[in-house]
Amino acid sequence: MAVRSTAWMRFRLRLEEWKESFLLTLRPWAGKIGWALLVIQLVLALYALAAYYPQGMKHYQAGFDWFYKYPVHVPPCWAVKKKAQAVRLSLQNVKPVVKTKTMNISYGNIRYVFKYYTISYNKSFIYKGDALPSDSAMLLGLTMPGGKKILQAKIHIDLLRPDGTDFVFLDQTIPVSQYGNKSVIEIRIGGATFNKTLIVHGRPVQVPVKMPYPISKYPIVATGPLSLGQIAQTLGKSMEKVFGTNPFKTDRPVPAGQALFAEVTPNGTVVPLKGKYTFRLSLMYLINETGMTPAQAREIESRGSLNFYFIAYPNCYGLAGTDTLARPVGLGLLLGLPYAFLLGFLVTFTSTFIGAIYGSFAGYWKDIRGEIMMRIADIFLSLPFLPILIVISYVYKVTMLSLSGLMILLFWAGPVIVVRSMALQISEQVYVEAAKAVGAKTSRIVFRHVFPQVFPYTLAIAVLSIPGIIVAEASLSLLGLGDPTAPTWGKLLQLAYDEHAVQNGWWWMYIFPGLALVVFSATFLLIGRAVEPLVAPKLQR
Amino acid sequence: MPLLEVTDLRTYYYTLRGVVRAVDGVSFTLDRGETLGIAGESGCGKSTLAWSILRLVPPPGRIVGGSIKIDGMDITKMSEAELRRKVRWRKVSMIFQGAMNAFNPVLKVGDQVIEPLLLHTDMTREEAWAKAEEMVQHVGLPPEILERYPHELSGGQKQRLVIAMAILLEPDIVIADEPTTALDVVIQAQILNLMKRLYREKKMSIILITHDLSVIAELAEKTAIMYAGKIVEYGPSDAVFENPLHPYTQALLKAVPRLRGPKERLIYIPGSPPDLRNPPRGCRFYPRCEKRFEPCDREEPPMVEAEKGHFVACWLYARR
Amino acid sequence: MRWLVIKIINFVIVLAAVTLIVAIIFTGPMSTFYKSQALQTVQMEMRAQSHQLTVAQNTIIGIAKGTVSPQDAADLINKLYQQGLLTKEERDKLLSGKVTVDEAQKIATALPKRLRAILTQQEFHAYGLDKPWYERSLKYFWDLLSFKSLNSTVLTTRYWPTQGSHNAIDIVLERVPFSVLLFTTSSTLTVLIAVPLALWAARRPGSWIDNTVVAWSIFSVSMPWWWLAMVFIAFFTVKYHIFPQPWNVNVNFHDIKTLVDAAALPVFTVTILSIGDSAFRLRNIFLDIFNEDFVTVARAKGLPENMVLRKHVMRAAAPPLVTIVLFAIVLSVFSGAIITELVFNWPGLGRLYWEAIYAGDIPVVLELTYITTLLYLILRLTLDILYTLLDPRIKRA
Ligand SMILES: Nc1ncnc2c1ncn2[C@@H]1O[C@H](COP(=O)(O)OP(=O)(O)OP(=O)(O)O)[C@@H](O)[C@H]1O
Ligand code: SF4
Ligand SMILES: [Mg+2]
Repeated sequence: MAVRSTAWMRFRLRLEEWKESFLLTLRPWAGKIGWALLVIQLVLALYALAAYYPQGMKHYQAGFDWFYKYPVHVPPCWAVKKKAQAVRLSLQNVKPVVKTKTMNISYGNIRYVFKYYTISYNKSFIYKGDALPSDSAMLLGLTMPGGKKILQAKIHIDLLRPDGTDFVFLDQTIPVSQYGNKSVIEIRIGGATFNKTLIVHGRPVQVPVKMPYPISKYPIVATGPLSLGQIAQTLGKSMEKVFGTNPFKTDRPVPAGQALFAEVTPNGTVVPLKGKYTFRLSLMYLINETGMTPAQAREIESRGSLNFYFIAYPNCYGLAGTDTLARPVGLGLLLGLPYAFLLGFLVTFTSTFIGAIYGSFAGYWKDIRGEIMMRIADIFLSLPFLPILIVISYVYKVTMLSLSGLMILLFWAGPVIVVRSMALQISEQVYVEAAKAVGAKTSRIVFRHVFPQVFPYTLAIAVLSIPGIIVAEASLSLLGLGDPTAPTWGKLLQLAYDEHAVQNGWWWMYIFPGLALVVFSATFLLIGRAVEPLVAPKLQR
Repeated sequence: MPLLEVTDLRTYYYTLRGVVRAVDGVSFTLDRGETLGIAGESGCGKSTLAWSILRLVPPPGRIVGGSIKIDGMDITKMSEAELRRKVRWRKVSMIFQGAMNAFNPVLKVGDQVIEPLLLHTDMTREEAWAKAEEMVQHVGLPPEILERYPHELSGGQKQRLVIAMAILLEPDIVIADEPTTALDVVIQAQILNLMKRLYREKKMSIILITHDLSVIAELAEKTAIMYAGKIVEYGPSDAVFENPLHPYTQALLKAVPRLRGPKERLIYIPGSPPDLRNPPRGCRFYPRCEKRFEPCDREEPPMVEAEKGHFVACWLYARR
Repeated sequence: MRWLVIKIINFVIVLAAVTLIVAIIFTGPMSTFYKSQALQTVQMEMRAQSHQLTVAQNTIIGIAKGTVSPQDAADLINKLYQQGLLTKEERDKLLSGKVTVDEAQKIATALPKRLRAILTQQEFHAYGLDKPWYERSLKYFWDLLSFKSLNSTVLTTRYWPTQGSHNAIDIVLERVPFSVLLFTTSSTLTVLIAVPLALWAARRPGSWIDNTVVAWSIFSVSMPWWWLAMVFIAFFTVKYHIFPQPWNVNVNFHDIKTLVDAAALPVFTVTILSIGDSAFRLRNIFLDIFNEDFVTVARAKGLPENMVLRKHVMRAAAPPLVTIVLFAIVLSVFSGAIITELVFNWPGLGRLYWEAIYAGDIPVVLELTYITTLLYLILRLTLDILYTLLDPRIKRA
């Protein structure tokens, strides 16, 4: 009982000491800011983990469906003065208008019945954005009856604009197959980068018809009888009529996806054309209804339908914009936070712990053992960290955890020299000599007397090395190494570098991840510098 | 005219946590060839007083009031250049507290010793070196020692070198700030004997700062007792030691261990010196004084001449 | 002089250990690399020997069919046996002529396979691939130490000594001058600027200049240097055309004007970043020195302020200054200053890392790692010696 109570007392005393030291670090402004930043970032990191771990994180790195929701590499909204209007349309509540025209032709004593069956949809919207949208996309689902009875099929889609011009997307006959057609066509009409070519990355992806909006990473996808080239050609031609040039062919500043809403003023500037736009879609087929009962005819007619979605993407997104994979940069910043903490804390604390124990022993043993230990530590200290790190993670593919392990392997010797010189002094103190005289075991002396005295100081120093670790990871990422599944800030910077964000002026792609790194690292530098004088009496002035 | 006349000197440190009144209204005079001992507890402002006399108070410290006249020149009003040329080391040299650090560790001590000679006389390097060697022998060291680096010398050797350096230009005043602390007893005695001999030979005035009263008793003709930035008692050494007037001096003398004589229990002064950032309003010794009485905590006691040439600042002796 | 010898011995030990570590890391990839080389050689050998092989096959089948007499073919058969392409029984059978067509056919079809197996084994042996991994590690260790030349797979020299050389060591060495140019220039500038700056800050602790130094030190350590490089490129070359855009220039040592133009922004960036850390450390050192007694003593002696600074403060700061330069260099290697070369399209060692990694050129990565390490260690040794010369206190140790 008595023993426990003294232990408890001692613990209480320690606690008091810690509390006091903590309050002392809050005195200087640097400490205040540092701790505040740490708390904010910890909360954010926990939120990121709770909300996105692990699926969300994987998805951020590997998901292709960002194009479905977000515009591609648009700046943050606060940096954009004139904002575009986002448009989302579908035919869900549009009543189709059906027109039929029956022709009865007699040929000898056989009476033929041919029917032109036209189903058409009109959908209007008002565009009142102050700027052109960053891009447009559409998804077209076509279902058609097939077989010998269908003689001809035609599709027509155009956009009637407020100034009376119209842009024709499609106006073509559809080859009729025996069993009917199911066709999906998905078009990213062209964002700011795709101004030279429409069909940039053409990896076809099978898209289920019920998907409401385009989902693939790639701008253009088509299956079935409708061809994307046809759309590009048709739309290009009708745009050429209005603008005098074909945005699909020429290297014009206004790409086709934006040109849908554009107007060229007499002095040559391109402005958004505000007003009422109408999409007109129609599907027509010629049916040989000879000898059909009305019910049969109706059945065949009703098998044709159109499914249409249209999106005009805004020209800005959120607080930090989106990157070239259409991912929100802000989300990337949030998701990178837990990884930064994981790496920083794991590496520094573990390697400091190891280094402090190692150094304590090296200082305690003043004979050849200590000498050899120092030689070994010296070798580790002489390793050029980054090249070795690069090489190992190049040769052996790393995960976040193995990367941490690797860094620990390279960093553990960091505190050894300081710790040893402290341990040398401590082990000359009377109580250590006394403990030795009593015959206490070496490990006991080291862990009871030496280690507890050196550890706090080394820890404070270690906090100062967190930035180095985070920065090293970012450097690895820039070279395309490191854990490919972890959305770290370094990865965002790598994307920015690989996609030439600097050349293209997409500053939000590299400014924000870099700033996140700076803030995160500065947090620990501020805390470390506030703590340092407290744990190192020598430095106190 | 006295050689050194300090009047109402006030030197404060302007730290972030408040103004430290390290020297707060100190006055005394020093005549040619006289030795003044200044004693007081650690932190009472002795070193600050010494630095003030050379106008070398380290920042954030500043002389904020009073005057220091050497040969009638007020050094608080002198230009820096003039001060350098006329006063520093020429008129006043100083033996710094902690001679261990008085030498630049990366330069040979000889180079540092001859610096004042090169600066204040027209001697060539060789002449200066020769003179330095002579001086070094004078303080009982082999001349080769000048070729060494500071870390190759013992504490006592360094202290002797510092003394040699201080008397090199034969200045009027040598301020010795704790010349013997951090040395072992034997060497302390050697150094003290050396100083005694030197000041007899060279006829210099010495301000001897220490918290070891026995040293003062041995060397100094006059004694000043400092407490919390003020001089509380000041007079001929004999008078002060035989007949201490101020309660603080009395307590201090009781706290001195004696080797000879009847074995008394050592008496420590209870409590601790006041925080110089906001010292007590009245007498600064009030919180620890055994003899305190009614006016002490309200008004500062004035300095009064209790006996001839024996001054004390205590309400016990002041008439109101 | 003993300390120098000890230091050099130390250096050699560390170098050997580090090289061994590098060799061990690379044992796996290098073995793969040598294996592919060996297989290529085998392929070539097979092609070279294909005619003889056909002749041998025809002869064997001929013996079975009786068109060739065993006596005529005895030389060939014996040779094949000695090469290990025929077993003893097969040889005896063939020599005696009592062999069926089926058997002969079988032997003939087996010949190429056997030849390939033998050649592969020979080549593997030649490359030491049949040894256990630690022996291979030791071999690569020795190859590295003795600068044994190694052929790159993809990259070639571009600048020196001749273009198109596949020697990995040359490929690395030709980049060294670029890195050295960049980092010596910026280190020199750093020291030249950081020393007065730190002195200025240390003279007035708490002033705006001091606060700037402290704050900038935090930022400069917090960010990847190549990140600021990206920001600067965007600002100084894309937004304002003050410097040439890095992706538009091709530097080499023949065109000095382009070289200097292209080096300006990298030097500027690396300099102001390394000033951050160096100036802060120097400021702390100066602050400590200003608080030292010997400075007060020097002033008390009547030394004018500039002499106090020159003779006492600067001289006392010289050894730590060396440490700071060392630290700046460690930081460059450590926090990715060499990666700034990548962003600046500066053909130094850092960019070569990226090129070699993207090209999958293992020999170049190996030599690059080794030579970077070597340079780094030599630099450390030099600074260590310099420090010892400057600080009399540690000479005896
Ligand atoms: N640079 C400084 N900044 C702030 N306060 C200081 C500074 N130097 C001294 N002080 C304060 O001024 C007071 C007087 O200091 P000083 O060094 O003069 O004392 P001292 O009498 O010489 O003590 P000791 O016997 O220990 O040498 C002390 O309370 C000290 O805390
Ligand atoms: S003035 Fe009063 S309190 Fe101060 S020393 Fe004299 S008696 Fe004591
Ligand atoms: Mg003092």
